Amino acid sequence: MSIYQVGLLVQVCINILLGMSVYVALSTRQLNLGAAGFMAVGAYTAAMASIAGIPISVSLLLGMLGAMVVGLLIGLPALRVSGIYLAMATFAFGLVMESVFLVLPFAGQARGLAGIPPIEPIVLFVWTAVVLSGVFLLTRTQFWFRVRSIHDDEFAASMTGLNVTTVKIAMFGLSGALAGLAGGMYAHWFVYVEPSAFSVEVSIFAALYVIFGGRQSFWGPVVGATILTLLPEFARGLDSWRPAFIGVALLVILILRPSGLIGRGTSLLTLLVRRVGRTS
Amino acid sequence: MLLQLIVNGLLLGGIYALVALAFSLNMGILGVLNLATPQIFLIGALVGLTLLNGHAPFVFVLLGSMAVGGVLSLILEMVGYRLVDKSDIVVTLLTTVAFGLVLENIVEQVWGSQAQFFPKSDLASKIDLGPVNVTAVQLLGIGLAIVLVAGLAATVNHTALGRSLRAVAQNRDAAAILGLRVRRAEVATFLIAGVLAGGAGLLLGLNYGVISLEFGITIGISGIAAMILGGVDNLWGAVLAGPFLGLATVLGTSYLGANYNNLLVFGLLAVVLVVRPQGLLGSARHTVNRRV
Repeated sequence: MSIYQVGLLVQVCINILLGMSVYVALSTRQLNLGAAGFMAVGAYTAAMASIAGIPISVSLLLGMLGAMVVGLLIGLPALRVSGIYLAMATFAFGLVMESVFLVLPFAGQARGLAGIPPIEPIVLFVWTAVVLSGVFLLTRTQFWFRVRSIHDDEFAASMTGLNVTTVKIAMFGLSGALAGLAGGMYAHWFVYVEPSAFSVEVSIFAALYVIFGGRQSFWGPVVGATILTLLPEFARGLDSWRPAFIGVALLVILILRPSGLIGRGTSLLTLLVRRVGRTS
Repeated sequence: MLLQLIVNGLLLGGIYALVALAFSLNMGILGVLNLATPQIFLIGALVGLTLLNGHAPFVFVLLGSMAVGGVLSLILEMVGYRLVDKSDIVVTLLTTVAFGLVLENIVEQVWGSQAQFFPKSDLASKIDLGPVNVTAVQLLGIGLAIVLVAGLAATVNHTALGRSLRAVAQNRDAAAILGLRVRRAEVATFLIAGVLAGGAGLLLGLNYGVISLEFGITIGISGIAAMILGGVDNLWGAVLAGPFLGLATVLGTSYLGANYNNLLVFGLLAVVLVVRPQGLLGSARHTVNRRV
């Protein structure tokens, strides 16, 4: 594989983790529009740890933990609000983090942090695979049914004796951790971070991956992030119209199939098989 | 110096108020956070610039900007609201994002991605008012902002359309059962919001003499901030919060620097959202999560 293709694959890994970050929070009906904020925390924590001489894998873990703590802290007050207000609060959080790293003196301010030790691509891929497998196994547990029940009907979920509050905060922590890992990987791959790398657009795209791919299954964000990241590579002719193409594709998906490409239970493939079965 | 800053802040605040009103119409009446507003704002400014360069009379320039904003907003209503599951805030939020992506791309292709400069005109010359200077454009901007807000207030409070808007804001289903033309109210909301955003874009462009996508996004975020500070279910909160935020921005930027100022504004925004989500002026009577 050429270095260019490896770079693309790295980008896919980072974006899948970002999508997964939005997905786990959305599974409890909490729309996180601040993924870039958590990503920034993870990126800066990991970068500063590595620059201080700590091994990269430990740094990534530290970045993940840092972002998880911030996620838990955000999750606590965020319980007061839900729906669009929560979305706007996390949106504001993302903006706050971008500004915080612009003024923090030890984070390099607008100059950014340079001299971060580079990561071996294989290490990065292993990390992604391990963490994604972890999330996948989590979505196969009985516990995950309870998490989803909060998405479907929070009140009914609380009536079954589920501690909705704890689960919601925990999912925000997990959301933070996943975005934090994406940030740590970003920092060690590009060996340079600056606040503008964690702009509002990153957060919004993270949400788009999930909505495009499907927000009811683990594979939704994986498929969404992969397609939307690689699309430009397969649509070279469209180069200058790429954002519009993505926008139109999203509108079409949201109009025709609001649950995303991959819905729960009935995938497009299943639907197709069923339709063929019916006609024959 | 301080007085001059206060005047500049209040004049900028008039534009913020217009953008905030555009956001809070969509949000307060329909529960849609319209993130395509910055792009509509930007296209309003660019169309105005094109007309200005074609030496169109100022009235036509303004009407052109507002009309384009309105038309774009109506297209968004069609593809991003009417056809999708409106009860799901995630869906409507992201349709506006998707529509914004398309608009942004069109802007890049038609006008290029660099900042666009407005022609120098007599309107930009300083008028000496004793201790402070203002430009004709600034006065025009604040005057138009006042006229637009007053017009909107009259429409919402004293016309049949305004009544149906308020009814839909309170309870869409009940309004439909009572035989109000809910569809008409929804279309009107998008139309008015688009017109305000387009007009505000032109005013900002004239005021600063330059317009770019970053400008649109910054103003868009300030508009959302003003809407939230003013209270989402209180249209007039935005009118007060706009100048307040304009003032805070101008003073903060000169005394603290732009970076600290952003931190302050966004921090305030985050705190208000968590502590008092109905906004500083929003009524506490409604439950906070009414829009969900």
